[in-house]
Amino acid sequence: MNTLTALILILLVIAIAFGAFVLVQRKRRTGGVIASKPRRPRGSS
Amino acid sequence: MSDDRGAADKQSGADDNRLLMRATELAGLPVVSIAEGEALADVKDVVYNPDKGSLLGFTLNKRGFLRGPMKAVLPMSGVVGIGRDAVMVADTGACEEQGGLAAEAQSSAGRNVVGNDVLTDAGQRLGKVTDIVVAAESGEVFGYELEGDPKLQGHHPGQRLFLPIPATLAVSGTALMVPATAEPFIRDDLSGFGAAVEEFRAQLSGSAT
Repeated sequence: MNTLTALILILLVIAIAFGAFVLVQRKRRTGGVIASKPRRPRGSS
Repeated sequence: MSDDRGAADKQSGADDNRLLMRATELAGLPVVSIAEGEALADVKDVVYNPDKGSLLGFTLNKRGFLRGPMKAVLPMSGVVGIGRDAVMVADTGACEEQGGLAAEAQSSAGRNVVGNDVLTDAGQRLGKVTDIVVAAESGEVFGYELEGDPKLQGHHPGQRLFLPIPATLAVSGTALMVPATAEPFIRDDLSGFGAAVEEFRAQLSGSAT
């Protein structure tokens, strides 16, 4: 394995890691429409 | 005296030209402080209370493409105005890290209503929720946007429909219940939807008395 191949492999790993990070962050940022839980009056079953 | 008349005209004008928005259009909008004149955060989730038919507030993302969610939330009491391009707050004090909404948002996480089925109390499936429709000024929830059920008569299969809801509504984790009497008030566009909601609610309150 020469130096160039090693460099390409390292860059590939970095690119994949960065892509995964971006995907996870985008998923964390994605919002929705949340309905709050209904509150039951005290004493009701 | 002229001030009073001016205020009344403005009020009636606001009723006529109510800005109805989809809740998912609010997600991603910047939260802008009027005092500092800068964006504090982006809107992440829209949190609403189905029991009262109103928005409770918003969870927030830090600004920037790769930044994550914030601990702070923005209750509706801190919102000065909601427009097509931004949610306006008075100052940074409008956002809070602890309080009712923060606890509510945490305990209700995962109760995203988008994708839930809508069933009538007569047992008919009307479709799947794609959004909720809110009045921007008041934060009142007017209805749902649905992907109509193929068996629903009078509409094309899969068509986007707008369904008015009562002021209070039961919502479970997976399905939304609406009265069967709401079906005739379904509209296929947002124009005139506000009037349909008022007709529907007037009919409900009329039949209750």
